[in-house]
Amino acid sequence: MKASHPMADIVILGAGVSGHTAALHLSRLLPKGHKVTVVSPNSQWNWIPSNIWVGVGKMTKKDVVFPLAPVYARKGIDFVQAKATSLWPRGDADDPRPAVEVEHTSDSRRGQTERIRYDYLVNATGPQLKFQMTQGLGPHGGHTVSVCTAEHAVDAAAALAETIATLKAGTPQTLVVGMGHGTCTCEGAAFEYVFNVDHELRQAGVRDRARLVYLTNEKELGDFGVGGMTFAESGFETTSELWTGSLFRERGVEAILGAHVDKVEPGVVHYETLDGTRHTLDFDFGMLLPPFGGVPLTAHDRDGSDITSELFAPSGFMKVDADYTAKPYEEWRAADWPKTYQAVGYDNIWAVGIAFAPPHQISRPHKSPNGTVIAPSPPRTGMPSGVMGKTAALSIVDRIKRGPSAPNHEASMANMGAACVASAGTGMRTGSAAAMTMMPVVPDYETYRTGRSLEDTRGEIGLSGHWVKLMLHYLFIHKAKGRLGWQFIPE
Amino acid sequence: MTIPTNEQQLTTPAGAEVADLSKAPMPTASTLKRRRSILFQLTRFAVFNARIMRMVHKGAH
Repeated sequence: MKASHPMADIVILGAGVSGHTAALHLSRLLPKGHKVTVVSPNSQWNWIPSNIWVGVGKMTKKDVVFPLAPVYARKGIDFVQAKATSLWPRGDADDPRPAVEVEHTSDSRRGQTERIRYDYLVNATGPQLKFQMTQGLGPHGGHTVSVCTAEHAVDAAAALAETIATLKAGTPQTLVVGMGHGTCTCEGAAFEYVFNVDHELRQAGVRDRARLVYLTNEKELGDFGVGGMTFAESGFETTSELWTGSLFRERGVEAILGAHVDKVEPGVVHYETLDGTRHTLDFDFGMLLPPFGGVPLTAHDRDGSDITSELFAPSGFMKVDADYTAKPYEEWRAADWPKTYQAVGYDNIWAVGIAFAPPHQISRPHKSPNGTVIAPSPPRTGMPSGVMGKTAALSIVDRIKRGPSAPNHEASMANMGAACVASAGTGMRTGSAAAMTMMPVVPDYETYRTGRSLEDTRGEIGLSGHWVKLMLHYLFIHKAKGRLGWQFIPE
Repeated sequence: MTIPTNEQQLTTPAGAEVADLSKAPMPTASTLKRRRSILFQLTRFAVFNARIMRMVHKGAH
C-alpha cells in the first residue's frame, strides 16, 4: 500500500487528547512531504478536566478551549472540520486506496460529504455521549445538566448559581451529582464535581441548607471504575474505599451506591440498586453523566457491503489487539489488554483513547436480581489516552521511515500509570484536591499482590493537589497549543 | 487466578437508601492542618510530581 505512495497520507479522526497528541507528534517526527490530516467535528480543542471548574463558575469556557485551526496551520497539519461517517478500509469501487467518508460541520460547508484517502488511519473519535440511554437525562431536552463539554459546563454553572440563590433565600435544596446510567464511566469526574459543588456551597455560606448526594453505579466508594485501589499509608494497607469515604463523611456528602438510573423526570431521579429494589430521589439540581458509546461509524468493503462488525464491537468501539474472548471475571488477565492499538485485520489502522474496545471491565461487573447490569466501564481518558495517541504516532513514523516490517510501539494500560487529580475546591490558599496515582491502570495480579504497585499507587488530600490540578491545566494547554518545548511535557 | 477482594466497609443498611459512612475514618485536627499548611503542601507537591515522573519513566511510554 505504502510502497506505491512514497509520501504517505495519515488521517486522524478526532482532535481530543489522543488524536491531537498523535497529530502533533506525527507533524514533529515525519519528514516534510507526508500529509497529516485531522478530521474533527469541533473547531476547538477542550481541556476537559477543567470543565469541572467551568461547571461551578470558577473558569469560563474561554479558559478551557482554543481554536484548532491556527495550531494546525502552524504545524503544517491539514484540518477538516467534519465528522467521519464511514470507513472504506479496502478502498471503494472508484479507487483501491482506503478512504474515510466525512460530513462537514463548519458553517461554510455544513452537510457536504467527501471521501478522504489514507495510507494510515488513527481512530481517536472519543465518546458518543449517550444521554438517550436514560429517559430524561441530560441537557438536550432532559432534566439534568452535564460537564462533558465546555458548553454543558457553562449551563451547569448557571443552574448551580440559581440553586445557590434559592438557598440564600432560605429554601432548602437537594443537589444530586453522579452517574446517569448503570454502565457509565468517568466516576472520577462526578466525584470531583460533587466536592467542587460542596466547596461552592460552603463559600456561599449555604451548605447547612443543602442536601448533597453522590449517586453512583460503583458498588463501593473509591472504585472509580478501576476496581478500587489498595494504598500503603502509615505502615498499613488501606483501601481507596475508606480513603474516599473519609472525604464524604468529613464533608457531609451522602452516597447512593450501586445505582442504575433508568429515568429522570423534572425534579425526580428514578433508579434501581444492586439488591433489585427501586427508588426515587427528589432533587432541585442534578448533574448526572451519560454513558459513553463509540461514535456511529460504519465500515464497508469495496463493493459497499457492510463489514462494520469486522472492525467494531457492538458498543461501537473499534476492536484492536486485545483478547476479546468471553470469560468469567476471575479469568481476565492484564495481558488481555491491547498493547499496540492496531485494528483487527488492518495493519494501517489504530484506535486510541476511548475509541478502542476494552476487552473487559476493570471493576468487577454486577447484575441486580432483575438482570440489570450495573458495572462501571473502564476509564481510558487523560494520561493513558495521550500515551496511546503518541504510541500510534510512533508506530506510523517507524513504518514510514523504516518500512512495513518495523514493529509497532507498545503501551498497554496494564503497564502504564495514571494520575487522577480530583479538585475539591479552588483557591491558591483555600483549594484542595484528592490526588491519586495508580500504577498500572489495569491491575496485574500476576505481578502485584494487590494488583498494583504499592509504591506508586497512592492517594493524598490537600492543598498541593489543587496546585497540581492548576499546573496540569496550564501545562497541557501549553502542550496542546504546540508551544515551545511541548514535546518534553509527558503525556 | 483468584482476584482478591477487600470486604466492603461502607455498605447501605437494609431499608436505607444512602450508605452508612460512620466506619470511614475522620481526619484528625493535625491532618486537617497539614492539608492546609503551605510549607508541608509544598513538599507534597514536589513528591507528587516526582511520583508522576517516576511512573512515566517506569511505564511503557
